[in-house]
Amino acid sequence: MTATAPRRPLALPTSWVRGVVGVLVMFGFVELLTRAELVSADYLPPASSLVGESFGLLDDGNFWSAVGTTLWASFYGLVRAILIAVPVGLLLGLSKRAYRAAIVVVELLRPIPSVALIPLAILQFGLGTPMKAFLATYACLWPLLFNTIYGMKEMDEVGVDTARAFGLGGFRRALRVNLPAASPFIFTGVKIASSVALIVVIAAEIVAGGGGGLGVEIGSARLSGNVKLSYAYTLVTGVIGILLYIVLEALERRLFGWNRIGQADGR
Amino acid sequence: MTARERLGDVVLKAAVLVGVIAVWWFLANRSTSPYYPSPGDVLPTVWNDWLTDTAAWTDSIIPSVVRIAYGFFLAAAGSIALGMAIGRSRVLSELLEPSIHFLRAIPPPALLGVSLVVFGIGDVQKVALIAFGVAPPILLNTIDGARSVEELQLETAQAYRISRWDRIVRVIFPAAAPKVFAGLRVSISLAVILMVISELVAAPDGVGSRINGAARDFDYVDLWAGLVVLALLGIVLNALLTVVERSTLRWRQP
Amino acid sequence: MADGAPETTELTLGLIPIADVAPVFIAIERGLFEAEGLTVTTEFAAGGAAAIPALQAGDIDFAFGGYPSTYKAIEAGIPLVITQEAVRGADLFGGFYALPDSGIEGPADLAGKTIAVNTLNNIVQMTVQIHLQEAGLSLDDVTLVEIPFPEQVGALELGNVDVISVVEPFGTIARTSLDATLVVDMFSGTLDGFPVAGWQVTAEFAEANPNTIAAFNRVLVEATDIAVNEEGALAAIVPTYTSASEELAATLNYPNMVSGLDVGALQAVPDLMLEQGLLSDAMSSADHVIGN
Repeated sequence: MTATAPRRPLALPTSWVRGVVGVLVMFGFVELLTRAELVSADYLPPASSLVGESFGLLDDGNFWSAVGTTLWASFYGLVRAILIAVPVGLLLGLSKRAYRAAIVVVELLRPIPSVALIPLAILQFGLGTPMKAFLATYACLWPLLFNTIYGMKEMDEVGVDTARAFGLGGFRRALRVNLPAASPFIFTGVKIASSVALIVVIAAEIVAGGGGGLGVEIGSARLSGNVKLSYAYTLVTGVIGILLYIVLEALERRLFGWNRIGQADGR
Repeated sequence: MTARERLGDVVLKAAVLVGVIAVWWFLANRSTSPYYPSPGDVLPTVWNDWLTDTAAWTDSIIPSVVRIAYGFFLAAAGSIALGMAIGRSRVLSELLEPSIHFLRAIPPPALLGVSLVVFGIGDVQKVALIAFGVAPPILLNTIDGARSVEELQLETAQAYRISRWDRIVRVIFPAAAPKVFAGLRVSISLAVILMVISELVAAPDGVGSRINGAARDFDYVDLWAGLVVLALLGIVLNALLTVVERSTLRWRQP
Repeated sequence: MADGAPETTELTLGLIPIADVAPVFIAIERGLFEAEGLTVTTEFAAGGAAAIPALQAGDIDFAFGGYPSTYKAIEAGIPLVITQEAVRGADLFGGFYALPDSGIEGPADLAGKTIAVNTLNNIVQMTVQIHLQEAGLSLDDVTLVEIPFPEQVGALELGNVDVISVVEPFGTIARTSLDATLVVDMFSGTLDGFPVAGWQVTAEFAEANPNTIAAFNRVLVEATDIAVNEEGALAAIVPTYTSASEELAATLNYPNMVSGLDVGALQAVPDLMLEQGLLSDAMSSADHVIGN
């Protein structure tokens, strides 16, 4: 049955090896480009020197507090977006009329960039975590909302009909049938939104400032002309992105194991 | 939809829109802060200084739309091709996915500096930044979509000796198309956002550049007007995408 | 009246992590704020467009920022009050630089060139305009490109722009890494000692907290004195709150750090802004400082 199993990256040791090989190849490529010094090393330091610089950060208490500040704001913003977008998405997926009414507002708000909202967000929330979390929530709403609605559309009509035949009412049907059926889609939305949250928070820290965070450190390093340090912090954000992805993939496998036939890990 | 339903739809949407403006009007008029101008000031600015102003089109809207178009098409073409390959190949997926997740976690504003160094200060730098930023949702959705193709369909196609190319075009792509479009839909709005970010530096023109200037000069009427223009731009781009999506997905049906 | 106990004792300062704000960190390190009964937290705000809304939100109490943003905000109806000066131009604190073999050696050579400025319509652009004028040129004779200070040295080396206009530490970096030619010293000639940046609060805060502001000012007078007169104080403190190396901190050209309020000197800023069209009406600097 393994032939029908969806490809699960990072599920097996071989996949880890391949993943590492892939990262190393990419890294080697960047190293060659930077070593070729098409651009002066002052602005584009060799990739390997950045890795050293990044490891140097691990000893730095300042670094860990920056990571903590950024992650907390991202997490806070993401969770709030999930709490808003999933119920609203379910509602909009269930009712055509509600969808048509709401889509006007959604399409109006969605293209407004969180970066352009920064001055207004600062005015409301100051420079700290609430401001960043607000912007993250705003940006995360859309992928979550659309994935939830798509999930509702793509779901099995038979399941809905069966539930209807068994006399499950609208609300309970939504909870017992629609929500579980749409949940893999919703989770894809969460995966996308989690990186959006991280990106928006760091972007806000770079553009606005604030009490701390990875973006503040990147901005501060640039202002001091310390190019290497600012790229080292940028590298760290990428690493956090991978870790986040691994955690969410593992969580997805755990949550939706029932949805996968013949899982490689025998679940 | 029947004509009657269509009319009802338009009326409903218009009512919602009027409601939004009414709420905005009410909130703005309660505040005396220059940060929250009334729509009575903002909407005329949208009309007079943006939509019916030739200079606003040539200096702001058109340059931005061109950057979005290049960035979005580059990203879509590359991501769909790569996503199909990764979705259908376990080896490729395992080799590349960690790198993809690494790259997509890097916030575009952190790349403003390096993009200036690598791509200079012209439009290429802005298009590159937009393409980099909008690619991940298309790529990840395409990978998911390509993976979700029913093995049975593929085996049938193989049994009928349908060529590899035809399998991709006739079986895999149609099966993946809804997910691909979900990704494109996320990305088209993201493209507007990245356009604004890319125009934070070294932009002689563009909507983002003008909005950035308005924030810097505390011209909050023009800032809000710019936000309305971005919203309109997003709606137009989304409508265009819907047209493409409908015709493509209809073609998918036998 | 302003000698009593501070009304607000817990203060958040919004500032930019650059050498200019060294006195604040000297004061924190040496307990000068505590001696006045003040507890101070610092937050970084990336420029006036971020700091001024944060002041209005009450998230920060004092903002360090350039005067052109302050006056533009005031003209836009945002009531701000300048509490104390902080930075004035000094020799080589800012400069216009070109590549050594470019043949650009003075302001007269700028005609037809592309010049990088950190933000349009701000202090650097004002100095560019002044130096062009003095060479018989105008802004119409050059192309300005908005590039943040940290990216300008790279843009110069890559040939994206002909001339950069930077403040420290980027002038020192341009000179040491590119052997760049100084085209004009930014704050020279009529701009010698030109007021650059200071501390500001909202009018509301100023009204409610005269004692706090007086105490804050006393601390900064003392700390600025240390920064200016104590050998090695700046080079020691700057690496503690920026990412600058100790070596860089020891060699860069510091601005002229000042304290107190000279309304007459400050008036030069709105006057020049008016002349250059950055303000639409004349503004009196005396109307927008504490005590008025």
